[in-house]
Amino acid sequence: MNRRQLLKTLTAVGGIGATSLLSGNAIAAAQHFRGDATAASPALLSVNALETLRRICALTIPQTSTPGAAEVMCHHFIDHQLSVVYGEDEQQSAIALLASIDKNATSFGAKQFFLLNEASQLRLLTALEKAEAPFSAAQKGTFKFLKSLIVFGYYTSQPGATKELTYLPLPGGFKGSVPLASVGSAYSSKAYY
Amino acid sequence: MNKEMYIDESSEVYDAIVIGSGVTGGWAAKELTEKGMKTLMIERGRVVEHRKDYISEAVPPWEYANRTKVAKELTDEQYKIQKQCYAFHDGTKHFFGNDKDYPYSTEEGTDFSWIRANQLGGKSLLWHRQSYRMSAFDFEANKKDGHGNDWPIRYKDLAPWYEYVEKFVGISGAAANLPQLPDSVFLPPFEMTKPELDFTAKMAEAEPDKPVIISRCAHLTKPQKIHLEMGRAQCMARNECQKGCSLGAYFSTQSATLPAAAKTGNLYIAPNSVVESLIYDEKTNRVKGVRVIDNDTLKQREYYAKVVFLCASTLGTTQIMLNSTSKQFPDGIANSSGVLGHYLMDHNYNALVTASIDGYEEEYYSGRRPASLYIPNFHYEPGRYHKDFKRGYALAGSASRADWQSMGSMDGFGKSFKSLLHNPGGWGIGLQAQGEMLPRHDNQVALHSTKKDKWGIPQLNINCKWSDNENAMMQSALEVASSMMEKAGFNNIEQRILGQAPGLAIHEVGTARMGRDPKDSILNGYNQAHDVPNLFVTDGASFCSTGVGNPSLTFMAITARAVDYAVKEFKSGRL
Repeated sequence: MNRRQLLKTLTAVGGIGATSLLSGNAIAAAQHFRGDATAASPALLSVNALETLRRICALTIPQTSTPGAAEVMCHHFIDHQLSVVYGEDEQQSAIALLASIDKNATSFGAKQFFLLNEASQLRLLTALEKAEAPFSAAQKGTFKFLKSLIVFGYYTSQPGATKELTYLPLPGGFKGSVPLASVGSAYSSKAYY
Repeated sequence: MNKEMYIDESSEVYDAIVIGSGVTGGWAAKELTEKGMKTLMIERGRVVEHRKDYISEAVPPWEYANRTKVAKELTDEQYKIQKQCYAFHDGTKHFFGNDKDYPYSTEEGTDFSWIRANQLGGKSLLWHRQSYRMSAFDFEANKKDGHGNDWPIRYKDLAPWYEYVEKFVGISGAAANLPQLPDSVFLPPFEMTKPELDFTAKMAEAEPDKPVIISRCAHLTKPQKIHLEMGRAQCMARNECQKGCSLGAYFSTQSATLPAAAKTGNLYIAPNSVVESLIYDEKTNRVKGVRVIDNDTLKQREYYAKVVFLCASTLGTTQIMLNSTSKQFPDGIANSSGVLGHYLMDHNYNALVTASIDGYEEEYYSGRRPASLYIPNFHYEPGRYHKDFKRGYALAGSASRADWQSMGSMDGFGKSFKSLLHNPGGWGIGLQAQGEMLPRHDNQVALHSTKKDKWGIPQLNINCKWSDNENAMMQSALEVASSMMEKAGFNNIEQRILGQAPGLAIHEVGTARMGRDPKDSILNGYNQAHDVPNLFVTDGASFCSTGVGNPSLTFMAITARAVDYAVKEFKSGRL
């Protein structure tokens, strides 16, 4: 069933605002993360830490033919998510890790992470991801947590969900076997996020 | 819904009162009203209108304040227990009870997660919709192995009522002709994925006593006239059901039983009415009504009826009964046996085994299936019991491909990492046990001696633990699921015991049980209180054992059967 047929079905059922079914009502919230909040000052992180995080976002999921994690403001999303959804422990370990990444940039020849060239930045992050010196296993754990937030922020953003992957708001039914090639990418949409 | 249907103050004596509006209350109201009984449905929470109040339906993740996650401050303050439920998130939290308003205590050294849904429609909005008949073996188990009391009914008593409710509900599934899991009246089944089909075929050969079937669920895969008449439409496989479904594609009070009851013109609803207790008339030995506290204003009012159906959820019903005391029933109404509150059961879901499946790289699926694989209980009679435990368990799970969320913590950066997540990952499979819990007198809910809630009603104190039997069953389930996966040639088989407290299967039953003997049970074989003839309890509280399957379909069938009996008794003047 295509979308148009679905709309017809919905109308036939009677009384359903098809528009509201498809777009839904955004839930009003005082602290609503908006991807376009470029000018917003960070809720939790320092401006320096946010810049470090922005670089990490860009290096993890770069811009290709679709926007990357930095373009969809994942660094702001993580700042928001840490301050609203997570507790003090996660907040403090994230802050400490970003500071440590900056501090260790000096051994690569720059005062701060974002001043390093891309190759050095990647070398440093790779060492962190493998828990190699100067990083500890605990720091690796915190990094994996931050990375999962980058991934979460990216693929739940509209460009990440709908341009990079396949978003199926109304699958029209379940088919147990379709060729991957006919879909073209993984699905971004999930029953539970 | 017609506005005149909602009432506030009323001195009218209705034919029937139904307390609760979930799966059970909805069915009681439908059956009573269709049989001509002027019925008042009492709901403690707010009105939820079908479609209009599904405020998060189809909202994409990027439109949520925290991308579907709930703010910590809010969960800490109001949802510490509810957040343990798999379906709790920012798009469903308004259908879960607020823990701050609904306090309860647990006995020291025990734990119980009580999941609440206090609004019109109750948990029928939030349920997982898996629907199974109990079998002849389930109804005989207590008698045969001596745990719990004998069910006063047998499968043949309920079979026609299963058939009756299934046609109206719409159950998707495939006939399997298994003695331990009677077939329902089915709509077409959901499809299996390719690795699932191959697993099913392999197991048919390697483990013939453990057939793999597609699960049975209350979704309209092909709506029939009876469904279309209720304004229901075909399931689109969004699997976002707990946000509410404007298509009415899954069964809920709002999508099915409420419109059916409303159509009769015999239905009235009193929302925001927290039932404090039942009003018992000693002279007539009848319940004559209910005492209610207004949810918002906390003012007291009363409603009256000739017959009362308690369908307020297992623990909700039990709390009301325990709090309905009189000279005749100092320990709770209809509790001359003293078993009210005892024999609390849930299902044990603690064993989980996962594995990876090689190959099938070009295979994918489309849509989000609200069904799973299901391996029915194979320890279904004493001769088939495992040496280490009584009763048995089913296994449920599915095979699917890893996605960005499960692969998000993999190593790598840049274009290659993005490209990795662009494609679905490898196939994986999980099988989780759904084990029967034995009825035990020690597992009890009682009213707390001092603590009350904001409506002035004594809180429940829950004393419930898994026994060695359930723990041994979960250990065995790990071994069996692993062995099946090994035989199927799967890799990286991992076993986990989840360690969840009772409650989280949300299948609590047993605390006002049926029975043949008024000395050890509350209700007779028609869910009628032995002690008080015009009082019926048809939710999970009435169960003598849990069986293995998800209980909601049995709530429905047992309710329809009880109403049929009650109305006949009512019309012949015996109530």
